[in-house]
Amino acid sequence: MKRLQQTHHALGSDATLTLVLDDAADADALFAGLWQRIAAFEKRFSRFLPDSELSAVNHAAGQTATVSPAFRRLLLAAKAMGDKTGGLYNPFVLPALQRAGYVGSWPAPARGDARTNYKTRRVVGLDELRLGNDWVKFPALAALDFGGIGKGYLLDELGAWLTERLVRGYWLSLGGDILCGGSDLDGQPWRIGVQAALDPTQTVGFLASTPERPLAVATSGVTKRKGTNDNKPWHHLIDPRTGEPANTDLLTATVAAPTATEADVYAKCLVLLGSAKARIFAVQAGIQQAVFQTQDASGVTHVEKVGDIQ
Amino acid sequence: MMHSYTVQSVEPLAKGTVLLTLQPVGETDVLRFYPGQYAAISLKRGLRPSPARCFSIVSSPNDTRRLQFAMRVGGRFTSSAARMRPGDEVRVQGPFGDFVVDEGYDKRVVLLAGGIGITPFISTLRYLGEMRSQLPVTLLYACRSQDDIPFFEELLALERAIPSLRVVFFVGDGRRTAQTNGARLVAGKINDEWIGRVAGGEFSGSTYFLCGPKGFMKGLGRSLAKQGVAPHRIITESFAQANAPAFGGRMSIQALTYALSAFVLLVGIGGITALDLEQHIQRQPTAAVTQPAAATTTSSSSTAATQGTNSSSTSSSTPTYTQTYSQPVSSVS
Repeated sequence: MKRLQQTHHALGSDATLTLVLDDAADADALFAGLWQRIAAFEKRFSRFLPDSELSAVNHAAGQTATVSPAFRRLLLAAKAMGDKTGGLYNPFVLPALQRAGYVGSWPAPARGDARTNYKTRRVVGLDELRLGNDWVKFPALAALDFGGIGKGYLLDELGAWLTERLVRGYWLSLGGDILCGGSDLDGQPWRIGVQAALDPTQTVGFLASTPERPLAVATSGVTKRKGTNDNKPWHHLIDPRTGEPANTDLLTATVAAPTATEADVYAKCLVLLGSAKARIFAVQAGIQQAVFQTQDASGVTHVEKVGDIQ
Repeated sequence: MMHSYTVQSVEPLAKGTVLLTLQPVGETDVLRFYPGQYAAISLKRGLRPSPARCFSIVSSPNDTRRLQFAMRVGGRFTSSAARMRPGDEVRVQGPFGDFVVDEGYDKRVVLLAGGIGITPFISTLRYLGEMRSQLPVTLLYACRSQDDIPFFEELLALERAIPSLRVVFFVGDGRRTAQTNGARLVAGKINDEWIGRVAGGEFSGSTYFLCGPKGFMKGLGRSLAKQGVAPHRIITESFAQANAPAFGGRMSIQALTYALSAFVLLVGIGGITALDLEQHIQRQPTAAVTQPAAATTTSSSSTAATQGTNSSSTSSSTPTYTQTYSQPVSSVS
């Protein structure tokens, strides 16, 4: 049995793939297959690429646009998460995000391609989305983005692909969103650390996986993708209710869920809600494990753990 | 993903170098890529695809009507490619590689090209020109002789069109003709003094992209490292660098080429076997699997990526697995 790992830059951040294999001879092809899928996903769904399918769909806003089966599946997932979160997750917040300052790909958010700039468009509700068998239509002044769901969704796709290939165990990280399955060497569970909000060298807790089912862990927060625009501070978590970056007491929220899609979306929703409402939301959404990190007025960081967190 | 193209033209580019222009079969089956990436090409000979070879894409990603590759003709594959005719089928898989200028991250760029290693930079410069980029870019391009500079005229035209671009040609044989068309021609090799000059005396303020023969890249890579350039600011296409952390951060997916070549070949074998069974002819799949080993030794390379393909498919070189295991930690993305 062997554990192998590769790290590359993808989707605007670091991606780490770790596999535990009975036969290392399969490794090259497995890793190649994973990276190929990640690259294909980015080429199709990146809002920063003028030639992506997402950009083509945004350019066709207001018209009926033919979409690929892959695009339709992700849209369905986005719609489902929008329904589950009562609209708190909304894939139409892109114009507001760009107006706040996040135009180009991280770490250069200020610089963007004019062909993917939708600052003049509006934020609309998910109910304005019309979806057919192979087409989509939404208002001409709206723009879609999968930034709040894409990594999680892709992780689920990669996990499903690996499961078909009967690997002994895996953990995959796309920019800190993690999906793990199976077990580590010698059948040990995976231990997923939760990074401290203000100190990337420290962890504030661990979640343990079980071999029977995958575990997804996602952390969202206001500590990384941020900046100032016309002397006004911004971060990348836009509250669709206000069209502005969320302003709550939460620095970060970490969620464990059966799927990475849910973990990704729920983590963001919790930050948007703030710690008091986040606890209620977590119960209603069936979230069994979560970590809230807040900072009080005197700068002290507090960590609250919900569920079985070591 | 496999894309179907047909040959539009095969034209001489410079001494011993051809430009292969392909057009997509369908309007939607178009390879989408970043400038600087490469693709694996498989030529269709009769019913059988050839083993795939990797070449940097020369055309701009904005030009979806054609896909271009430049190659130095010398081995079996490139000789076959040079003889292709309009309408011949070509399969393209990709794109691959991380040899991509990131305007959001790279504030000043120095491109170091040796010989046919210019090819990924042509795509990059065409793209930057179309996008009216203001990114300061300097290309130092080393060739054996002034008669042997692929894309010479186009590079001069790009320099005129892109105000922030500077191009300097280095002629290895030391002979220059008086007719230079306004080009900056230097006799000799690219050296630290020149790099320092174009980097404004501050080596560490630029990102360096290297593409060319192995020795060329190794030598320049070492020089840059000695001058204090951080490893993540030295970007190459070489597969030989493997796990070397000195070039970490943005490395090509080297093993993908080998796996891809094998995969394409296996797909081809499947097709051949089915066809042969249909025609009642027995074949041995394993015999065909050894073809890459034989073919790569005779194939010429247009980029270091192809050279890497040669070595990775005939040797037991390992992919870029991390040396030190990183634990899983969930963090803000």
